[in-house]
Amino acid sequence: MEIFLQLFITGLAWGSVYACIALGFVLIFKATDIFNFAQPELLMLGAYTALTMVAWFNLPFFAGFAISLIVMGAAGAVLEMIVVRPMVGEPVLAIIMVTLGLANILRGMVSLIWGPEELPFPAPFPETPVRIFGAYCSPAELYTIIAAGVLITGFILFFRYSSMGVSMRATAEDTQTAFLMGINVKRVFTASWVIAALVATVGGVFLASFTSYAAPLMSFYGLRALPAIILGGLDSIPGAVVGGLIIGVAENLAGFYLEPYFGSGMNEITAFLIVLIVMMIRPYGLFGSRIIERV
Amino acid sequence: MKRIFVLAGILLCLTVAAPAASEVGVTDDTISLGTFQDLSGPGAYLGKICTTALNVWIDNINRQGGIHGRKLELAVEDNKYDPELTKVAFTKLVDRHKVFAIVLVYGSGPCTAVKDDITEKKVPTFPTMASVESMYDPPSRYLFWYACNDEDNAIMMVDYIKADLNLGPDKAVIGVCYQDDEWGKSALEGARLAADQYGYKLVEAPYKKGSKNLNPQVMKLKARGVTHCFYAGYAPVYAVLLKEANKVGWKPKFFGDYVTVDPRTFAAEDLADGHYHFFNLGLRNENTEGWKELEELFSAAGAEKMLDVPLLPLLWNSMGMFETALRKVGTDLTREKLIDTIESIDNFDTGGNGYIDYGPGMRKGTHQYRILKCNAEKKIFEPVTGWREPSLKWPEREKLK
Repeated sequence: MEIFLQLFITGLAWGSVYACIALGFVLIFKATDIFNFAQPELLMLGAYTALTMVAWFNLPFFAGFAISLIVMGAAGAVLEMIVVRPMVGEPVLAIIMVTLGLANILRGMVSLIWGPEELPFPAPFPETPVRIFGAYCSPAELYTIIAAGVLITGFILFFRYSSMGVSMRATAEDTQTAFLMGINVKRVFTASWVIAALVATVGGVFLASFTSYAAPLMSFYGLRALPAIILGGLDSIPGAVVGGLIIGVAENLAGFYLEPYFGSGMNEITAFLIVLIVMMIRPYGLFGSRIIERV
Repeated sequence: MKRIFVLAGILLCLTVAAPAASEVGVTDDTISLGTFQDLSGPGAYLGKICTTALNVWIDNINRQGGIHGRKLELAVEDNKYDPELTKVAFTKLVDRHKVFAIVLVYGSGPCTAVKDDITEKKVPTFPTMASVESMYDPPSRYLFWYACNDEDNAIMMVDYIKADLNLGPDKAVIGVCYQDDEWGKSALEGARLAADQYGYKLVEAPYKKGSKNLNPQVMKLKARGVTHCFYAGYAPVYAVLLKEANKVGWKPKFFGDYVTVDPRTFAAEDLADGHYHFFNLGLRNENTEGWKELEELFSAAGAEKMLDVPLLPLLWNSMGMFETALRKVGTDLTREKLIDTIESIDNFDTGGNGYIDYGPGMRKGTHQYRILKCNAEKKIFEPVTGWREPSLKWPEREKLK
């Protein structure tokens, strides 16, 4: 039981990182109907920005983190205005290609500025583990779980009760009608990218804190969040978080219990196996909106 | 008849005059060398280190007048660490640049891709640092290997537990946490051979390359009561392993392979302290003659940052031996003579930076290692043993597999 609990708690922490990445994907999709393939790169860029503030400019960690949030928020806005907005109204495939291109550019840019090698990340968390329900948890993991909890609560409230949140939902539902109803659609688009960039920065900083390093390869963890989004439902914020947590826990449990039978790659396959099974039963995900087309 | 005599005379003149320039890549004034490096792929960091080291080495030789009056030239092709592109790079080096030899290459995939081409085209390749045994087993006349071997090191770990720590199979359980590829499997094989030899229980915990979550592996090793764990993989992941072990309260003795003798291990801070590592090279903090030379040359070249790379002597020892062989061959330089000369060099002086040794049919250049201990406070590694070989030596141990 102790082993199961330990695997479960660590899985929750990794799942929280996946949830942060998934949240970014969903926020943009929910508001703009665009699937942003550059979201993992925003996570990587967020981690590198925080690293620069703390390690290069010698700022205290939380000040550096706050400034990196501002920088990344601005970067999200600029990217939306320069790269995405001109594509509004274009075919979906064209927009996908643009976000894929953006992902490559951001990855190349990070290697160019910070170099291709991993850089030590100055995480502020102590190493002394915390005991929870008989299992151990590092402070970095604990804060990640708490942060994911705060983010989900905050965004659920934001989308349900704030005027910007309602505007975002309306825009995603039908951009033209939202525009006719007086919603500033451009502002909604920009806001969604800003928020997604902020969430990505939070995820990036926690991921770098777990692993002690910021690396260009961090962006590949973004791909691990894809099963979480599909599992939870593309347009569901609770779905993104629950999906992320399920994938994180399932990967960790499979890595321990199934590895002796199926080999070391089992934890990675597990996520996709779960998605496959859920898709067969609920094609729109656990929490996704069921779209019924009448013909 | 007269015409035949003239033709014979011309042929004779050509034959007599030719030796100085008869070998590919060798002229009266130059020796052309080639290398394929990852300059823009995932291993670009290593590619830049190797290219810089080669340039410092060549500049140093050319400043002293070259090898018997011949200046060294270097052609570099970018292989992006890709096996297919490595084949292209090899062809360009051999057919377009017409190099005499290929120097200082690495990468299991890239080097495996051109191994047969090296043998077929008879191009001396000195050395390959690829971490796969197929580079020297079976030996190819033209391919020389010089790096650290995890199979050797894992055997040495078990030797150390048995002979130095005096812990029998009733007091120690061996674990191997390894990157699930040829490199890691080599460590597993060594640990398995030695554990079987002495009767130790062995627990394996593989992880996929790129993974940074080692919680399942650590829980498995902890649950099976592992007391001594070999680690085969990159230093940043080793730091993660140390942190994860600390988190769950598992306190074995770790034995990191040569790649963990790296400043990035200190990301784990005091958790790295007191654990063991294997290394076949001299350490900078030992201030050996070899390191003094490296400091002088790399500082003069404005490449001081390279001195922070503990594996720098791996590059320098091999290039030093290559230079010695080139000089020993003399003015009549051919590929075959170079290879015979490399085979004949005994006790090559690396200035206290380790050993490198080949022989007829022996293309494994590393046989001796030391065990180091990590001093996290000073951020250095310190030897705790002298130079030693694994109890099960290659190639004799192949019979046990």
